[in-house]
Amino acid sequence: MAVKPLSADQMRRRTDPAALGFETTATLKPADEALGQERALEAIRFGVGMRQEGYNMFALGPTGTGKHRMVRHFLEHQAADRPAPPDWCYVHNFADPHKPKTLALPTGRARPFRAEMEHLIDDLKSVLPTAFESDDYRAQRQAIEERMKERHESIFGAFQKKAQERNVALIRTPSGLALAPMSGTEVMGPEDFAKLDAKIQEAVRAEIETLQDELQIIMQKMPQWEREHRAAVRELNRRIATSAIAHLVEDVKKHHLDVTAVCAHLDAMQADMVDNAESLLRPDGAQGPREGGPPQPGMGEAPNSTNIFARYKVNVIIDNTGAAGAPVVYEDNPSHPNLFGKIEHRALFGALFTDFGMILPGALHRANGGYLIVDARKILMQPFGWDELKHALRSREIRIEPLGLAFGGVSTGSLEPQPIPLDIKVVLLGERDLYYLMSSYDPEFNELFKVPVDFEDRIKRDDGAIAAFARFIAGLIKTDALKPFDREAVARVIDRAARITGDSERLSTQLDAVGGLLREADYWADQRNATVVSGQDIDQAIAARLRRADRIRERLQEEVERGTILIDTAGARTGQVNGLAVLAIGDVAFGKPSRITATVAIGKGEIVDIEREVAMGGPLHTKGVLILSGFLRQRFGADRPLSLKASLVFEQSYGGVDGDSASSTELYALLSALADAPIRQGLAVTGSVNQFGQVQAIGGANEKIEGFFDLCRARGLDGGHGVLIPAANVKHLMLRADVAEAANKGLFCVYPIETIDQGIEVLTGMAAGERGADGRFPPDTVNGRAQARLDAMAQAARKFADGAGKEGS
Amino acid sequence: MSEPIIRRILFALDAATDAPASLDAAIDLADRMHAELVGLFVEDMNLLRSAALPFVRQINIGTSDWSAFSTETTERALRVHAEAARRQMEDHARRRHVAFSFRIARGEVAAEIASAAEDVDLVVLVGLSRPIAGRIRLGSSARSAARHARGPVLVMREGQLRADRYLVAYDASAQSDKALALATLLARNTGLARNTGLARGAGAEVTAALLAGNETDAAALERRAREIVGAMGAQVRIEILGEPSLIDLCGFARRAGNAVLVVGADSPFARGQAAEELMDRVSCPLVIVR
Repeated sequence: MAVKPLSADQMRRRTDPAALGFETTATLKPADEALGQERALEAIRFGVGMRQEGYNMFALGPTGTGKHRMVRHFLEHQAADRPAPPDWCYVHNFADPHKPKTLALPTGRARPFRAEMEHLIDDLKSVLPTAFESDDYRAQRQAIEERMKERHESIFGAFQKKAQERNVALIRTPSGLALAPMSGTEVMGPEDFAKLDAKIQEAVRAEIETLQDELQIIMQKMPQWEREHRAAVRELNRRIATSAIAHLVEDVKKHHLDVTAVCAHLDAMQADMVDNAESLLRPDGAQGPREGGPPQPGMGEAPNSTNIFARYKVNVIIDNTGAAGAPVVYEDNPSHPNLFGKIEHRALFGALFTDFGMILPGALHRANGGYLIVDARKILMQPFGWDELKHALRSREIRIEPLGLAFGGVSTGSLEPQPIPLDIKVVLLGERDLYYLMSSYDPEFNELFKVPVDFEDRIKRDDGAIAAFARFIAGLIKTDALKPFDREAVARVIDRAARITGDSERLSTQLDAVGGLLREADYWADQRNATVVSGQDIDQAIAARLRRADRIRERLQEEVERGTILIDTAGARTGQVNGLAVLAIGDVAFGKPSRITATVAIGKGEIVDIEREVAMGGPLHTKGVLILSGFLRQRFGADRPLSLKASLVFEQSYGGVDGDSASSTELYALLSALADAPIRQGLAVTGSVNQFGQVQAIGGANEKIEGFFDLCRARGLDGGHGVLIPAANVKHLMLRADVAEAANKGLFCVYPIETIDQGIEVLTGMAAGERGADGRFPPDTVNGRAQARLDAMAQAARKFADGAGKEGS
Repeated sequence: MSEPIIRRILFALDAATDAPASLDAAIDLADRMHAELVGLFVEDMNLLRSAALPFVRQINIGTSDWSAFSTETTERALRVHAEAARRQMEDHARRRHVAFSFRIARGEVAAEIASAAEDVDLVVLVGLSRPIAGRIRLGSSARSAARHARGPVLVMREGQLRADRYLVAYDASAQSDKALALATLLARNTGLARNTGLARGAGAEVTAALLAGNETDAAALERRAREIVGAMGAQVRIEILGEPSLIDLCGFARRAGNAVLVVGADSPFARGQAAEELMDRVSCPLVIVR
């Protein structure tokens, strides 16, 4: 029975604006963006509710489904009911300076604590010098100095005096001290010494030797005196410093008695201030090498010294003052430092320098106690980002370490800040492929991200869904503050949503695609000064979008029309069929007709796929061609070998071919060549085929039909043009209005094909032929002619083989 | 009174006082005053004589061990010291385009410096010897020249001359007038270095620390101080110290930060043995003016 072409209605399922039940979206109650995302929302609710380890979430779905907006919206809603997390600070670790300590303070208390410490430092700068310049201190210090001086004078001075009395001079040499006999005020020269009586010389020598022994004893004791003096000064300084500092520290401490760690830090700080009172007395707080020395501001300072006051400051890394709930943080650039924080360095006199004040927080710190949203692809592309995130989630702490350390390579001396306990839910966003890849290849992934939040990108198109979709559109209009859309416009958007899915029975919920169309239609309505967006604006937006991306399609069609790319759209040719391919470039896909030809000759049952031979055919295409072989063997070679050699090719194809959607087309070309049955060139074909000759569904049916339609229309539609598609694809058709209109006028036909026999009949106008009881096909059918041809080829091959055998013998 | 002039500056040192930072300070001062720098390294005759005595040994600082001590090694050491000082002066003075000369004299240190000081307007000395142990230092041999030189002497401690303030112990004596005028001149030129490439302020501050026991005297001293400094086109800050002890004066100078203390030689703080004590106690550079 001949296949009937589809009606216009079958080619394009339209939404009836009148059935929508409203005039414009202004009267509609907007729906939230979670249309058709019940599964995803359930998963988020579950993920948020599960407090156990590892129940982090991966929101998967195609780009543009609005995963980010929906996840964020939901999490913010949840976070509002949770308490704001504590504030976090880094402070100096007085016991181990290269390991700064963390302090957790109740929410909103970190900033006041920092201010209190700043005031304390300011007060210290005046209180301490005042204490050390007090008469009391000065008197005590003077007493120590005097004791030292007295001791010095009593021993060293007495020695100098003794030497002087014995006419011996104490002389500073380039590297030490020497004792030499004097003559008057000058040291005696060797000539003068030689003039002395031998006994006197001997006495002088002996005297000097005795003095040298004494001097040596004194010199050996000097370091000890110095130590004792320094200890005495240090002890005095400690007492004075303690009395000056203690009340300042107590003033701060009384505000934080409820936080043990802060009190412990303040105690350690007080002890450190007392220990370092000398450095604190210097105007710039520089730390110099004068350990144990007297507090004398203005003495030489080490050029690479650092300001000691800085160690008493507080580095507030997380300040949750005024936070209404738990934080929800999206990190757009999840580099290692942006996620985990970093330690900055400052160049100082050619060296890199850092301290706890240069520790900067990352997104994990900001999101701690709440939720962190990160794009999975981005974090995978960042060096160490993924590994470190897993490590943080496993260890439940945030560790800030320079990337060099994470590399395990050489690192300059840096800090090892105390890790901060991590209590967080991480939500990764990514495509489905990425989720499945990570799930397959990373054994830790499934342990740490136990909750897949799978976003639908399409919903079933039924009446209920259409009404919900209209509210969904109204929601997007409200979010983007667009003009109201009339019902005609909404109907067109719904139709377009079906077309985006490539399925007349489904609607796309991709926010990017639908939202983009709404915004662009709003723009076009603006251009005509309309206050309501109507159907024509939707059409305009779709057409303009296509036009913007249509250059390559136009050029290709131009080349076909000019005869550079050979595509016949009229007449009939044997072994030549118009196939249809889809080219997807950027976000635009369009159909492109291609000529497929087949030739046959005597052979050994091979079908040569030229694309494959030159490595331009993909595996699916090769599979399709091998299926053809199977079909031919099944149909014609059950009781005899196929003695043919056929070759198939996509003519003028230079970029490779993949997919099996041309396998039926190739089979038609082959049958045509075998049966010598010319094929109508006004038709194009798409569809894959199985070994039994059933035509199977393919993708991109809409684009393929429209691609061929555009070419035929350009050359003039005459009613003989059309496309053969798999019958299973009819439900996917959402063709353009002009295609449906042409079909309505009988100028262009779309044939739903179930079997190869149906298709070959449409293409050749000749009956396919059914196998008779004798296993033979009727002679005036395509199959019969093909069978006869194969028989003839087999006979010829046999004859040829016999002849060759005789010649050989 | 006439404005002081500084055209030649003597920087004197010996083997017991090598102080590269002080030499740099002297070059900087010469640059700012547009003066010529005269370098003098004195080979201490007493040291050479003692080295020539075969039984004299030296005790090494640090190890407290005795070692041989000969004329040859001592002269070599002196040559090394002098050459190092000369090279440093040449390098730095050339870089700053400061006219300079350098010579080596052999003799008694204080006498040689006093003699060389005859031809210059300012002497720069290093006040302390290199340390013997810890903080224990001897007063430098050069230092006694500070008491005998006829002109002003700047006694450096360690380090750079970072003068944000010139503190003049002012009592209206003839030499404290001179001290105030010299301090004004030095302060005025603080911002005038020619070729340093370093950013400098417009000039240092001059503070007259009035040594007055009562308000009347203080008012008179203030008038006089303002007159002297005003005549030089500058301004003076007044602080009344009353009748401070030497220790008070040193404390005042210490609290002033990067200051230079300037005293007249006739001041009770710089007369006789007091000058030695002042040089011992003061923690900042000191100028004694005659």
